[in-house]
Amino acid sequence: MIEIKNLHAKIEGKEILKGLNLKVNAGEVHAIMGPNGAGKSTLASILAGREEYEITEGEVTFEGSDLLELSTEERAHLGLFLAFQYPVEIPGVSNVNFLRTAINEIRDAKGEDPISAKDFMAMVREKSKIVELDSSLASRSVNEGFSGGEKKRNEIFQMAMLNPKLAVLDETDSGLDIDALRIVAKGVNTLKSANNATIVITHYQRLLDYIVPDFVHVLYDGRIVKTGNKELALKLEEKGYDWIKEETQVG
Amino acid sequence: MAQYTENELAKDLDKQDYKFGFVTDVETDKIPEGLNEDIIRLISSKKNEPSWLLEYRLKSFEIWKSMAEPNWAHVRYKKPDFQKIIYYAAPTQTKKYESWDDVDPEMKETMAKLGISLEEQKKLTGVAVDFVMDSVSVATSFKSKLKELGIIFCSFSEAVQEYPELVKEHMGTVVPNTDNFYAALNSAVFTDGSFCYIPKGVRCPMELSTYFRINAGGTGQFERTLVIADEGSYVSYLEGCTAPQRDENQLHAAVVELKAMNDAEIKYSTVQNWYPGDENGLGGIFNFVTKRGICETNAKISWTQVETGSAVTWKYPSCILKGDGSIGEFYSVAVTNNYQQADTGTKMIHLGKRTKSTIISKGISAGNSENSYRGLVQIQKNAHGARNFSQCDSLLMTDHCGAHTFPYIECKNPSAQIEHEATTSKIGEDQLFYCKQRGISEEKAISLIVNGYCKEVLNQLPMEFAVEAQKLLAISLEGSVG
Amino acid sequence: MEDVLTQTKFDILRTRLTQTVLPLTEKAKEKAQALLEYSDFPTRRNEAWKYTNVNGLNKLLLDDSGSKSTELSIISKNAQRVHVVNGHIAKDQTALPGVKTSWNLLPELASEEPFDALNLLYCTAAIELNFDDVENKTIELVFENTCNSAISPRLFINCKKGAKGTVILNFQGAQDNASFINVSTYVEVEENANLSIHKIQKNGTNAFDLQREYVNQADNSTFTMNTFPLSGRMTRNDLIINVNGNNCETFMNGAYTLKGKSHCDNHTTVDHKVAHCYSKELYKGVIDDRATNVFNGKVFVRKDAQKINAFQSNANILLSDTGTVNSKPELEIYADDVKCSHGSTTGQLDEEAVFYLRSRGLSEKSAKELLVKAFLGEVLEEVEHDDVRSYVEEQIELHFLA
Ligand SMILES: Nc1ncnc2c1ncn2[C@@H]1O[C@H](COP(=O)(O)OP(=O)(O)OP(=O)(O)O)[C@@H](O)[C@H]1O
Ligand SMILES: [Mg+2]
Repeated sequence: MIEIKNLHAKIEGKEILKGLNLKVNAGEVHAIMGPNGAGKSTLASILAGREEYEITEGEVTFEGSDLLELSTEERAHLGLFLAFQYPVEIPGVSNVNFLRTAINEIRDAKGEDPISAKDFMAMVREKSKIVELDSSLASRSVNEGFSGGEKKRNEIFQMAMLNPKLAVLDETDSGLDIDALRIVAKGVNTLKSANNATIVITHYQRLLDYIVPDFVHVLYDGRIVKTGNKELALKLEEKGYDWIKEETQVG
Repeated sequence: MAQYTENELAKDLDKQDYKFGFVTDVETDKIPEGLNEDIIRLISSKKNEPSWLLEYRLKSFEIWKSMAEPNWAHVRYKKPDFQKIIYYAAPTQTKKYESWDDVDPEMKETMAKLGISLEEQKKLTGVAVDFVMDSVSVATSFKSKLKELGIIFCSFSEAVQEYPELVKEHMGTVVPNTDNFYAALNSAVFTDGSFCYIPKGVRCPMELSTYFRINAGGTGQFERTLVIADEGSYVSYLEGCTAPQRDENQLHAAVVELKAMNDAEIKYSTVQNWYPGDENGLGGIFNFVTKRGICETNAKISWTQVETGSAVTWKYPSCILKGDGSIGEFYSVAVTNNYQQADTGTKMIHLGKRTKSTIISKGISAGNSENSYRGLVQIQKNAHGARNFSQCDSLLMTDHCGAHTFPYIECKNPSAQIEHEATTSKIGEDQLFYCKQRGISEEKAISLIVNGYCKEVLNQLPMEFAVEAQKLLAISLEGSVG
Repeated sequence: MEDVLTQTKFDILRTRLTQTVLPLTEKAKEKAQALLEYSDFPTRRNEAWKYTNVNGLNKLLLDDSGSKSTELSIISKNAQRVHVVNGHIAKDQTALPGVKTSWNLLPELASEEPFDALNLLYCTAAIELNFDDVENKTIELVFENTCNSAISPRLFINCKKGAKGTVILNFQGAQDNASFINVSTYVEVEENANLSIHKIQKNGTNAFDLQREYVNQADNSTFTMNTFPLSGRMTRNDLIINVNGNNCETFMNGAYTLKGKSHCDNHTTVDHKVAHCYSKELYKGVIDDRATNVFNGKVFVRKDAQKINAFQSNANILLSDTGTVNSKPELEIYADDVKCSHGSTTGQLDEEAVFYLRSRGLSEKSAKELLVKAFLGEVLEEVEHDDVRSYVEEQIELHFLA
């Protein structure tokens, strides 16, 4: 699905990613953990094509294409989805209108006809149920005046609507209450299939109780320094990152 | 004064060895270019006007000659040569149509080209359309239905013939011919426009709609609109404008007068997409319009405008809140791109007690354009308890354009409350990225964000107009991010 | 031509002024004279003077009559002080470091403003203040006006590279003094410098006070101008700040309390010519009796001056039926990556709040006073200099006692 090789990236002259490698296959769930400022959101932003970052080395292949050559929207057309750590508010633009535009642009890129209003509304009803999103939120402006938790749920709702191949969830669990966490996880699990994959960026092992990862990676100082299974997350929860930092320094 | 006929004029011109002669080509019946008393007499006689109107025109001309073209607005342009303008052009086909089928197919096609299919409009029940093509109204529908209610909705010339008393009583009482340079000019040479009268207590059941259009090359357009809403009545009036592509600058100096009597309400919406000139700033319409309304006791006037066209716009739809408890509103979206210049805003003059006004203005500047909001909120001595709220936001799309805010606030009453806020910022990078991540192209994303930004104003427009306005915003911002 | 023969209002005014005794070059003189010859008093048609009429200047006697002593208020006890009495530098003052009061030649006119030209030609005192260290000393210029005179101080304030300084311009007029005070102040804030100017205008009730400050800011500098027009028949301040350097901060604050027939006009311009700067402006005031206040704040952001944050706010409370408020906050922006906003409000005291305080036992008068003080308090909070702040607070207190 996606393969990242030796990725180096800079922002404002500062090197953030320093040779990152990661491979994700269809059907897999990967968790990325790591201390604040390690570069997790940077990785997500680079995958989605944010232009502020300068890529100095490395390559990324996504579904057979050279991802780094594509524009942000072309990546989205190929099925890459980023659930933002800080979802953006767009005043005056209704969620529904926003999503219909997105879906139609993606369909258009694939040479498909626009979705009919009827099918679209049916889809909105169906998918908003998955994340138990209040239907009034669908007609409100994108994220405007949404609570922190509502914004996160809205991200998963959009993911359900766009049905991506690869979803990168950047701390989608932060700011969620226990129920919302369960709902979001349920959403992710419902959408999971043998044809798609998910990368979950999180600080808390708790989320991984709900979304069970196939792999857990530790991102530290711009690199994946450790990879394991669910047990690794438990160990991190218990011991923190110091032992990893030490190990890395020694290595 | 004895009636001065066209023949006599022809003779006079002959004597003066007039070098241009009459220009009448196949499509339009034009008079010679230039402006003088004789031209005004000619316009008046062509329109078979009563003598009081001719006198009004001549007086206005005298006033205009004594005035200087204003230059305080934040716009730069080559001043029009008023002697190079043709002040009257009528389609040769001036016959009034009883039914839609009678309309010349060619004309229908032109209408379709306006982007707003009139055929479609016609089908939309509840929309009456008075179509003004090059100064003379050529199609009017739904007239009989309106007639039943006593509503008069016709071309201005027709009103002069049919309802001279009404016209004489109200014309020039809101925008006097002494008001400003362009209003004086319009009062002297106006050719046609619309007239609307809603009788006491009548609620006009449909949106009254007029599409103006400038067609013949070098023809200045001088529309005159008068809307009178008698006591307790209501009307929603739509004005749409468009002109085909042209190289020379064309002048448009309209006058719109609204009168809302006690407890009446007028909603006046405009979508203006006249030719803005090309991407090098060549050509385009000069739009110098005077729009004003007077509100009597508890009356309300609401102006909504979406301005995307014209090379130069100079326009301040205003409300004189004369009656106690009256309300004035101004909702505006002004988009400028390439080399367009807009200086637009409103004046809210609070005279009566407990008068209220709201101003919401959204300016969007792209390309090398200049976009200014200029407004006046004036609270006079007796306007106890007057309230105003103004919000003027500007959005910048490139670093070669300008966005400016010039609000004038004048208050002479201690019980008044005035609040003005303005912001200027760039289109949100984060918003653009978010949209793109969801697969939306930059162009679409901009149009989406801008439409959202203008929501408060677009919401004020009647449904069909709002859809059209959204499309227009998208079209005018094509390729605008730099 | 007729124009040449008619006497302008400036001509009339000039007949009652005394040419400066300070040394001017011929060129400087000619330039100023030429400017005055082609000008007349501004009229309503002049946009910058739309609401302010100075014709009353020609009714002032300006003959040094009506001498009345003032109870002199010194604002900062710790400051170094220069006394200027009726426009002239008081004799027998000890020389202060960094203060220059004697001149071989005065610098030429740098503006196109007729009143600045007038100030130069009829200058009564020229003072230069220089700050060149980080000590942040305070220099207070005390202008004491006891008779009805024409007073034209010309001030030059330089805050050198990396230096810090504080200036108090303290104008004190005798009770019903009718002077014509015409001040030009040229300010240079060099790289990394930090300068604050506090201006107190407590003029006689018949005085005309026209002032202008021309400020230049270089890279990484901070400039603060606090203006307090407290009394006077007519007060006009033109504050023009050119932000020529990157990473600058600019603060403009004003508080005014107007009553009687006083007319106060604050025009400010902050011109952001380069990138990465911040400016913030807050002017607030209360208007009573037949007084008029005018506020005009301009923010320019020039092309390529990206990343500018500029905020501007003007709030007024109109207390009487006969007072007038005119407010015109303006933004003129030619760069796109900016955040600018302005706001203007005009209203009265919150009736609910007055009622609330009265229900707690305060008289209506003291309830209103309290609220007005709270309203102006927002501006005073911005004043870092304790002496200045407490002086203005006291004056606001007195304003309500009178
Ligand atoms: N625009 C920027 N300019 C300068 N530094 C930046 C920028 N964006 C990110 N950084 C820096 O890059 C480093 C990595 O940031 P990033 O947001 O990727 O961390 P993270 O692993 O997601 O942290 P967290 O767990 O707190 O979300 C941080 O040190 C951050 O300060
Ligand atoms: Mg992060």
